[in-house]
Amino acid sequence: MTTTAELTRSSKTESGISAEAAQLQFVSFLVDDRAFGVDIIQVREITQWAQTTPLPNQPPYTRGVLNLRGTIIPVHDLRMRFGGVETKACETNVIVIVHIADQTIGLLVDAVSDILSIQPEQMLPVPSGGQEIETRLLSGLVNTDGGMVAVLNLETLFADAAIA
Amino acid sequence: MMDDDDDYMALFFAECDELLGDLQEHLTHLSGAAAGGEFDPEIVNAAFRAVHSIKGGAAAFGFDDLTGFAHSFESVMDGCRSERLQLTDELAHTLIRASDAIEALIIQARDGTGGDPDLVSRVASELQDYLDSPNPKADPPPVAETEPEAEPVAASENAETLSQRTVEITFAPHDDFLASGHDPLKILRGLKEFGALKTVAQGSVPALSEWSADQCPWSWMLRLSTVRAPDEITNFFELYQDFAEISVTEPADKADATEAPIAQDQEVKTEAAEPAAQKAKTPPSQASDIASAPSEKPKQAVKTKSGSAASAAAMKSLRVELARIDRLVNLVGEIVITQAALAQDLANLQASADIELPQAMEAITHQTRELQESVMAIRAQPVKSVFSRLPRVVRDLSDKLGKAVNLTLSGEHTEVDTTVIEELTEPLTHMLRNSMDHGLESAEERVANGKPATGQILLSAEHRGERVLIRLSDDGRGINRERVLEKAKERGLVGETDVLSPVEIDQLIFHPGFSTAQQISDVSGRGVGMDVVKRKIQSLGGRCTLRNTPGEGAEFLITLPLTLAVLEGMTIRSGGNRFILPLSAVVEALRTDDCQIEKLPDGGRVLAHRGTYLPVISLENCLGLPAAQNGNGMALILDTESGGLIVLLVDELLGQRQVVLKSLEANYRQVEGVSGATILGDGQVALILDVMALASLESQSAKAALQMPAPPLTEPEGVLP
Repeated sequence: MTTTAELTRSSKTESGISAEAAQLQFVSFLVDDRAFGVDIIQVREITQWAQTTPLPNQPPYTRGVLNLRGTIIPVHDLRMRFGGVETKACETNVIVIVHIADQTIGLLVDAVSDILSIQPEQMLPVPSGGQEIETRLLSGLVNTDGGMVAVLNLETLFADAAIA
Repeated sequence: MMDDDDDYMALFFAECDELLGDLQEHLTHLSGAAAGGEFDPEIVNAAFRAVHSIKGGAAAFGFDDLTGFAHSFESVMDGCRSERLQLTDELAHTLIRASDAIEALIIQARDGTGGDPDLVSRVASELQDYLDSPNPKADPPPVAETEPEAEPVAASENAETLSQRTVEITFAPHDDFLASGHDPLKILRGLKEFGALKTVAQGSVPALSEWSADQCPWSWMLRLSTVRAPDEITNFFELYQDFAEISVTEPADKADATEAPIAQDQEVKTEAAEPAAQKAKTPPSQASDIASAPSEKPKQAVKTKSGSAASAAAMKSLRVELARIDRLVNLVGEIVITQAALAQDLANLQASADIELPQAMEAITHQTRELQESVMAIRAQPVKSVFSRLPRVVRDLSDKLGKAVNLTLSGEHTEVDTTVIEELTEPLTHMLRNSMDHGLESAEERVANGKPATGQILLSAEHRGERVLIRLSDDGRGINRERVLEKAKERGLVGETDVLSPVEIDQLIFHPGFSTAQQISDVSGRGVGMDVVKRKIQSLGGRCTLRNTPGEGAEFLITLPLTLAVLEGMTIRSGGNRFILPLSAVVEALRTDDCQIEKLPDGGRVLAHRGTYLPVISLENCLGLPAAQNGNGMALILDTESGGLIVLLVDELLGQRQVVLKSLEANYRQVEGVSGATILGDGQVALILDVMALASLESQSAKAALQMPAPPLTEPEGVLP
């Protein structure tokens, strides 16, 4: 995954396209059959579900911590984060490891589906009429052939789980 | 090239830091000597050497101000050791101020800014005064007393001023030199340590057919520029005396030294190797003459050098970047985990297949542990590096506050991890200031209370199992509980009607923003107080507690882990999860079947143990974890260090092992009740329990349970389309 991200970055610089015209790339994944995306730059790797160690007195969506090659990272259940029931995690579930604000965290999702490349203008704003919370947690919506992908704003999504 | 220069300069400043530390320590001893203690000339020498080294480095890098100042500093100290200047209290103070000034100059040289020109010029003129008007000793002490002191001083001064003598050495190996296992190259390299060496090899290599590999066909003419004493060189060659012709001569006149050898060189070059050796036969007696004649003096110098200051300096050391050691520590940590995993796999295998565990497994367990201990030992440093700064803090403050204080240090050689040491200076200084400002009374008040006028502060360090205990106590007035409580109520930290136990009141001083000094002084009471100290100590995995005896004094106890990287732990299982308890906290383990647990009316539980009742806590209650299916099988008696003993119910004990501490904060945040995490042999993460926090969590949850049902956990936010 990291390789992909690097490739994207280098191809960007080589082609020398101005920042505005540059493509946006997202890793999209499924949670409850709905598609979400995160900026590919933030994604470090994707790993299979492994048993986590629960942490005491944490938000319910924090499934615990995981040993990622010697580093301890927290894993958050994305379904529960959006009010769903706890994911009955099994080997088909995957953890998307992302890097935000100098911390590495894992997101428990159902499956990774695709890598999306879009032009910036294809990223549509979240309609403000909806619940306020959604405009805060999402940074935009993208329409694809397979349907709508909601792009997550990871900084705010787990802001309360980061260092207070 | 530039990088190299920068590297060397960084090295110089790092050395300066160390030298300054040494210097200040020596000067502290000196001021003790000036105040009537025993005068040890070796201390003056050691202090002199420190300044001299700084001067040398400074000159090499062209820091002229620093060099100049160091020079006059050195000169005054030279006056001291040659007894031209009498070491008075005043002079000792000047020297201490001079060490402050030289520190300022070094900082200035390093950062390009800062420094304290006023201080430097003031001290420089003070030093100059001493140099200009030497106050000869009013009554010279009896000869018998000065003799042993003056001798070594003169001798080592001799060695110092003998700088850059040129010594001629002829070195002609015998036929059996190589056969007896010696290596000429080794000798030449060894000599290089003594100073700049110029070598001229003589003799010719015979034809290959005649050449014998175990004979050395050459002899050497060596010219050595050295500052070492002649007998050091003779000693160096003593080992080879039987296998080679060696002569050591010293040209009497320095001016000749440059010309004479060249002439001799030419002479020797025309001669065959054999006569050269012959010629060399005469000088040995001469050399031994030289060596034996002045040997009285240098021997004494050597004797005094074997004193504490010199023997520490003689220990060989290597400067290594901390990052490299950290990498090693991390790697060893991983090895420990892997080894544990391997051991576990093997144990499983043994259980299923009934095989013998290879002995090598046992060996590697020991070796990894030893490896880890050795690596940790690299990072260990004596607390002396922190402690040695404190006498100066006390001295400065006692002037400022007008309180006479006697600081006693003990256990300076206790070793602690470097990181801990670095972080310790600030809180210790702060606590010391606090003790002097708030704790100790004025001399009049002390006398009125029947105490000696001079206050006593005791600072000690000692190892306690896996931790180090630092104790700072004073014999001052202690903490005034009424005033603390009054102040706390005033600030709204405590309700007006609350009744607090004395110990609870004492704990208030650790509350953020609490300061009892009625006046905000220059010394302490800037609004930051003991809470900062406590937080700092806690961030190091330590605890800070207080024993207060109003009227008699206060004692602060700090316990710190020896290292922040590994922990001796006990693995337990509770509610399907494994946890690690610091082994140092575990006092005793009991089977729950064998002991009686009673319920209290307020919902709490207690266990009767050796005539007392201990509060019982369980991880279900304080960590909100699922209860065990089969009930708690074991009760562990744990020491919370400050809150006495508690009993923790667990399902089972899984064993004892060393664990590598991993941080939860790095990628998440601090979790209450948990001090960190580690990775077990099977790759799973296990949390390390914070015993002290558990006790308070349990009492919170017990209170909450009495008042109302537990508050609902954080509500999930919003539902997406």
